[in-house]
Order: sequence, then structure tokens, then C-alpha cells
Amino acid sequence: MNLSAKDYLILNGFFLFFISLNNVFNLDLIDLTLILSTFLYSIKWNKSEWLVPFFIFVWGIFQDILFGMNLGYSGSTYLLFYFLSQISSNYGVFEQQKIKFIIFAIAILAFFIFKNLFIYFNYQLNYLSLSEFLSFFVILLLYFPLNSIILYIQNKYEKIR
Amino acid sequence: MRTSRNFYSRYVNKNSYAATLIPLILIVFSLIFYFGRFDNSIFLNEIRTKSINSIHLITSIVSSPVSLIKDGLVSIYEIQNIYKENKKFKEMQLLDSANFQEMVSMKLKIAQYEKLLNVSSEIQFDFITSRIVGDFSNNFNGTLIINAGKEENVEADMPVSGSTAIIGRVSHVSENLSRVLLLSNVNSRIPVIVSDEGYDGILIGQGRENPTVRFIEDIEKISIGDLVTTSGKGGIFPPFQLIGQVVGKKNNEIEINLFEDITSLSHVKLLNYKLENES
Repeated sequence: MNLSAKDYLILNGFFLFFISLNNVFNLDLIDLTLILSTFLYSIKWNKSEWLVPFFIFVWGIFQDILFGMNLGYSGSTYLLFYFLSQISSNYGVFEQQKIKFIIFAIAILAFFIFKNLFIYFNYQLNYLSLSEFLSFFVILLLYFPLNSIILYIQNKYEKIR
Repeated sequence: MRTSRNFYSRYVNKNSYAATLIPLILIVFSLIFYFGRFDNSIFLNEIRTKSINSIHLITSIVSSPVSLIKDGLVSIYEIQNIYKENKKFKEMQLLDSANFQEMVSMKLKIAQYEKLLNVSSEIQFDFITSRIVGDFSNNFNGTLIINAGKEENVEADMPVSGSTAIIGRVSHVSENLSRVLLLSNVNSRIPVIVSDEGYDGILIGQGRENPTVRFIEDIEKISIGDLVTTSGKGGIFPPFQLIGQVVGKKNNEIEINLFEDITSLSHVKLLNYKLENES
């Protein structure tokens, strides 16, 4: 996906809108940060778009300030999924939807394990609960419709070009 | 032809490396930032406090259409439940009036005892009411944003309460907004007393789970249902302010159910409390 100035504007507008949704929705089961990460993973990014990771990094800082979290949490989450998208694209597995999903599932699982281990060692808090597992499965389930939407938009965009 | 193909292949390879290397460097940079906790420094903390006003304003404007739709749906739901709630309140009214009588007589009795014992009147404070404009609580990071700041004389560490019980304290203050660190936040630690006997302990936030009280000496003497209030030690919270009730006991900690349900609150009270010699 080669981005024009208009596309960059839309991309940043989308980031702003999605982060702003946290003002309205605060759901236990659906983590909006991970949903935005799913979008970042589903998009096939062009290798020459060097500016995108910097934008993602800045939006991560923006979100952390809004949430009152330690700076770096949201940025590293978004960038991880962007990085995975680039890696899977480089190794030619991006078009193979099953492998793409397996990579996503492993990444989400690793993210949850790492997050819970960090909370456990840093705050002596065992956070593994049913709701935590459910939120993990909800993200995995939401991957399919979100990925289909992105694929549909990208295919349509390619046809127009 | 061969030269141009080589050039193209080199160009693609260079781009592939850059496309993976840049996000990787930024991830490492973010993680260093996160684990290094550099944002706790005075400089970054100041930037953070100053930028929250504009960031919150922008996000509020962007999310306002969605917010309006959500508010409309919530209003419809509330109207649907109004008759049911009215009936329930009517049933409770009789019981409440009896409790109220009892409470007034106890208050008068305590005032008389205090007069007899010549107790100093240090536990006096007024409050500022403020509206909650943002709830960014997630599984472990419980924070609220309220629309009162330096202009309303809000100060850092001010205790914050709901209609009946303490919910947290002010952690950051900007011109028009303040951030409230909730009792449920994993970084929250406040001194409390448990039961009528007044056992001291520290209330520790557990995210979405119930908070726990640790470092209690006579834990075996505490029973389920005992009240938990602020101890006043440390001088941030006024003493004897309700927090919650004991709902469970483990080896060296007790589990507390908070009285205030944050999700149902729209306004909070900022308690202007200071020890007498401080003010």
C-alpha cells in the first residue's frame, strides 16, 4: 500500500478517532489498543513507507498521556504488530491467511503472557482470570472480521489503481 | 538490463531492511522508555501534565458524535428502568427514615462525648464537586479525569470521594483538568483501619479485582463484613472516611469490596483536607 499525503491524513485521522473512542467506551472484554493493533497487523504496508512507524510511535505516546500510563506501553504494542506485519510480508506469508492468523495468535498469546508476568513480578499480582482469558479469545475472534474488512478495502484500492 | 535489475534488487533489499529495522528500533526505544520509567522525572511529568488539557480536548471533540449516541442509548435504558427503581426506592424509604433517625441521634451523642473529652476538631474539611470527563481504567491502571484543576484550587494528593466513600486521590493537576488515581489502581497504597477495633493496614489496589489490605498484625481477629476506613496516618486522607467492607480473608491479607461503584458515578467530591498545623 503506497500512501499519498491524503492517505497519511486518513491514517492519522483513523488513529486519532480510534484512540478518542476510549473516552466513550471502557469495556473489560474488548481492548481497543489490541483492536487497533489488529488493524495494523492486517494491513499490507509498503516497504518504502518509513514514516508510518514514527507516526505509530507518536500516537502511542499520545495515548499513554491520555490514559495516564507509563510512556512506551501503547507505542511498543502498536509497533510490535506493525513489525510482525512487515516481517510476514517480507517472508511471503502475508497472503497465506492461515499462517498469518497463527502468527497473530502466537503474538497475542506472547503479549498476554508477557503482560501478566510483568504485572506479577512488578506488583505481586496474579492477574490470570476468566475475564483475562475471554478478552484474549475475543481479540482472536475479532481478527477474522477485521482482517476481512482490511483485505476487502486493500483489494478494492489495488483494482482502482 | 542486468544493471537495472541489480539496482532494483538492492533497492528492494535496502527497503526491506529499513522497513523491519525502523519499527524494531522504535520498539526497543519504547520498551526502554517504559521500563526505565523516565516519565517519572520532573521534566517529563511537567510536559505530561501540561499536554493533558489539549489532548483531552482534541479527543473529546473527535469522540463527541459517538459519545452523543451512547448517551442517548443510556438515557433510553434509564427511562425504561425508572418505574422499577421508583418502586424499589418507595419500599426502602421506610427503612431509610429509621436509619436516618438512628444516625442523627448517634451523631449528637458523639458530639456530646467529644465535648466532654475536649477532643480537637481537626477533622473538618469542605469540598469541591467536579464532573468525571474521562474514565480510562483498564485491567490494572485505574484512573479518571475530572474537570477541575489549578483554577479551582485543586492540588495534588487531594482525597477524592464519591457520594458515600473514598475512591482515590488526585495524582496530577493541570489548569482545568486533574487526574484521579483510583484505589483500584495497582500503584495505589493508602493507610487504613479495619473493624471497630481499629487494626492498621495498607490498602493495595488490584486492578479490576477487589483491593486487598496487607500488613495487618491481628488478621485472625478480623471478620467478614467488618468496615474499612481511612486511618488518617500520612496526613493525606482525613481519618474515618468509609472505603469498603471485608469480603474475604487469605493467609496474610484481606479482600475488600469498595462501597463506591466507579462506573455509576458522574460527579466526585474533592476533599479540601489539611492537618490543622499544615493549614
